[in-house]
Amino acid sequence: MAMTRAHVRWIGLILASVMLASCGTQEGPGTAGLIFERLKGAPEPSRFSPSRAELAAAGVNQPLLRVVTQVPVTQSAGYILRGQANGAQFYGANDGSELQVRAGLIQSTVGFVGDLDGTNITAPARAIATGQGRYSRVLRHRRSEGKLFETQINCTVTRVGAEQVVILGRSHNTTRVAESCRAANEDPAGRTLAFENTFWLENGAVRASEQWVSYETGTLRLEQVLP
Amino acid sequence: MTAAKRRLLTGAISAGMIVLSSPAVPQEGLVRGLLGLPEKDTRPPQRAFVLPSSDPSVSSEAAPALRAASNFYGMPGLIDMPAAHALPDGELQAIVSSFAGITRTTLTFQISPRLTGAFRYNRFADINLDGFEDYYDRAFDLHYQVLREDEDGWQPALAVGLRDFVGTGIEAGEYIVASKTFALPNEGRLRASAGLGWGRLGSYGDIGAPFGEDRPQFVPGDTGGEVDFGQWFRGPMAPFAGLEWQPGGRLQDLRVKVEYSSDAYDLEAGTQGQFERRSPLNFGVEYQANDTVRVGLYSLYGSEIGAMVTIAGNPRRSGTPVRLGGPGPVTQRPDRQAAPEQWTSAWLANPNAPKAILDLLTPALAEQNITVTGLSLPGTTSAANTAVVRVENGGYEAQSIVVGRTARTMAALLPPSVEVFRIVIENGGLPTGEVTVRRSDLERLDGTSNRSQALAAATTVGPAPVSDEGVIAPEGRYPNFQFSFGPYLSASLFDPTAPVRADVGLALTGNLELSRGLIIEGVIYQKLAGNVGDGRLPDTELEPVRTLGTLYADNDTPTIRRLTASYSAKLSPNVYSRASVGYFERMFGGVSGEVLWKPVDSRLALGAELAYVGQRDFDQRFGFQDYRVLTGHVSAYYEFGHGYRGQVDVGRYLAGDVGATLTLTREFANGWEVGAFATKTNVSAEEFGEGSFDKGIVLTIPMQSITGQVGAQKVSRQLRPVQRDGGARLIQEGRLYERVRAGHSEAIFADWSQVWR
Repeated sequence: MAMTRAHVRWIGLILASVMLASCGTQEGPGTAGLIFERLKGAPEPSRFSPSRAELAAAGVNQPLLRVVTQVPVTQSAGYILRGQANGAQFYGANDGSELQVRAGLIQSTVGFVGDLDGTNITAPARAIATGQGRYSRVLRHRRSEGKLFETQINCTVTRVGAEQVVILGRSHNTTRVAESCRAANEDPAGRTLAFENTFWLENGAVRASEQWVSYETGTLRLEQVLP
Repeated sequence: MTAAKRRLLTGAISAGMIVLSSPAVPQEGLVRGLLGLPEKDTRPPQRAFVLPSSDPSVSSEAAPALRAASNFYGMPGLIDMPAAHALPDGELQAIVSSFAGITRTTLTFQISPRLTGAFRYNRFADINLDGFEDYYDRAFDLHYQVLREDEDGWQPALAVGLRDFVGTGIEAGEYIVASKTFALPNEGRLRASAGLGWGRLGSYGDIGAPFGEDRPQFVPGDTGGEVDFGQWFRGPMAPFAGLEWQPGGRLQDLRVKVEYSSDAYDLEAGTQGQFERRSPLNFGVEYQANDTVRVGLYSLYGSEIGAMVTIAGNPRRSGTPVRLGGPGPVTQRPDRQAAPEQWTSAWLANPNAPKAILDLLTPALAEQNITVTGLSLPGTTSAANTAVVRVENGGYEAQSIVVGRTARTMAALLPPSVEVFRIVIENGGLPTGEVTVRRSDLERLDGTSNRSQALAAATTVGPAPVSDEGVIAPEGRYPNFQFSFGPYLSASLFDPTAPVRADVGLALTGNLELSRGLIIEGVIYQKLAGNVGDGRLPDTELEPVRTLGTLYADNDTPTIRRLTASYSAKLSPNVYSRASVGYFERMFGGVSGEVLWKPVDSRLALGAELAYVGQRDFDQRFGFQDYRVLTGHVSAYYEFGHGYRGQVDVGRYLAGDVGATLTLTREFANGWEVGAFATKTNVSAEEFGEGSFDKGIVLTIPMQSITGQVGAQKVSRQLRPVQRDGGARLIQEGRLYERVRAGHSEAIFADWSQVWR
């Protein structure tokens, strides 16, 4: 069907309306503009793989984590230490997402789908540091209804062996430790949560890890770039 | 942070997006039972945000082993027949099905874990009834799952349903049906359903009429719309049955259905000859393309091919996630023993202190979409260690985010001697609730593993202060002018001559806040194109207060959609008031006053509104027509919990009729609301006309669930089968209840898990 002048006028009208939606005292592109942005599709996946020299040149010298996500696509980002409270370290990325880490273990997340609101860290941290142990943990997830949902899990920690880990070009001699967890009960949806986390310890501290966060976010890989 | 550092720390992780995302009444237990809700939560409200694992609403979080599917009527079922399963809780589906010229467009909502409701618009092509070339009809259905299936045991699911129970009755039928699902190898599933039907569903192969033969027949041209309790489960009763097979493995997205139908299609296949019903057997295959879309192709009644498309969404899970930056840790005060000089209250003697603190707080919170409207420092209106900040929510769905961010910002900016933060939640200048948080609790709990629950236990919500004595407002706060300019879309549905009509145009919206609670606002429309004004003008026996809508739409020049001045104030700890004057809506303007009683921790609220209004000229400028009316209602509101709330309004409507409106609404954490209302007044069904009484559904969608950006803009639409003059209520922006409840305990603690976001 050929495009008539009437069609052109309609298309122009719609586009003009979308553009005009940007006007107003509210900052930002306006509702129609935001919908338009959404229609353009997802942004390119981010990659965080600078060289050590580039980090130094940029003046990055505070504690820094490289975090790799797998869901919905593999991406990576840098998280710098924003502060500490009661022994928990707060790492934040430019997109505003935030990780609370205690003894190398993720205690809480903000800015991920299916955020972890909190979990007890003391017993797992002790077991992981020694490479063995059994304990129970409670995972508290923020659900989309704004509620917290608690899952009790039973975990076992075992020492796997020595491994070399390379983080942004720097090699680290580590000990690999596995944390295997399974929920005590089925959840109401009939699922029994089970996951395995991996920690690579260097001189007793976590240098890198793969930690399950939630069904929606899956597992995050954390690499302690600095210090 | 330097620009170079910022570039290096590039961190747009798509996965890092999050969704942001009610006095006892005698019938509460009954309502809970009907909705399939858990027993009343007797825990303190502070803990209500923790979901017990026994909560049945949790069960639909994951996709079930056999996805719940809908039938041609848009209700849980097979092909044309019902089944006993329920849709996932909160599911909203739009379903279009068609065969033999019968096209059904259905909006279905899983009202509660057990109760499904639907509104349907039917087109019967070439069926000449009551003088129409094509016959259009509207219908409401209900489906209630009496028993849940025990997947590991023998107990099947059991459901009862009412089809077209409040329309003309062209599709009226009732049923009771049982379904049992069996596990197959390779994670396949087979669901068998069997039931008994009445009405349409008892019209083929009946086995008697156990509850009586006398069932009224469908009458073309009847006004319809009345609930005819007397006909339910009466007349012939017939069995129906069917199988649903979902193959496992790689074919798990396919589904094969076969059913034996007990619907004779007496009208369509009989008197109207629209198709030939050769067989009671129907077959179909469906494909689940993704979580949202399902398509199906069917062979029906041995002679027809049918198709169905289902678009599904669930406000409990879906929507564009709203990305919020992590707030970072709470700023800890210096140790009191080590730095006692920093803990003195000497700063209070500095007359510039209030302004200096406001100058810091206001922009810091504005960056987080929170507007500071006032501050009072220790010793003025509060204890010597207490600071009070008044804030307005700039668009967060969870009020707890406002509380958390305000408290953390206060912790960062206020001198160490301030220990208690009182955060007053205002809405349109109206102080609603006051949240009290101790600074030492923030410091003590941040970074701990159970901080949300612990902070909830330490936080109290009380009534906001009535007086604003001693409160200073940020410099330049008033007058505050805001405007927006953008497109609008206005639709008119269900006109038999053109079921969908629409206007598009430009809208200019302005809002001038002159002082606390005093607001002038207006909306001007300029239509650019559309055909709503070409619609029919129905006959009416009442004062035409709504049926002249097409005349109001038939304007090509700018129209004043709304222009009002209103003043809201708190009269006592539990009583709120509003007075308004102006053009309230496109059809009526005048003066209006309202009072609301709502204690901060009460699920019950009572209100009264009185208005004297005149009917506006069709050109929607400044003139009025001759019709004047005194209208008003007394209202009761009740929050049942779990997002459900009810409202009863009793009073006089615009046409002068007297009656009551019942509204039930379910609100989701991401701000979506789905509700239904019905109004019965002292006008008879004949006087009311088509539909017999006013009823409909309401859908409210916050734009942030689509745009992914924090913002207060919402789109709310009432969907009525037919707009008549009876039971028509004045449209009034800024009614008190919604504004007040948002700052009260139930709303604040409902989403408390968001307090650290």
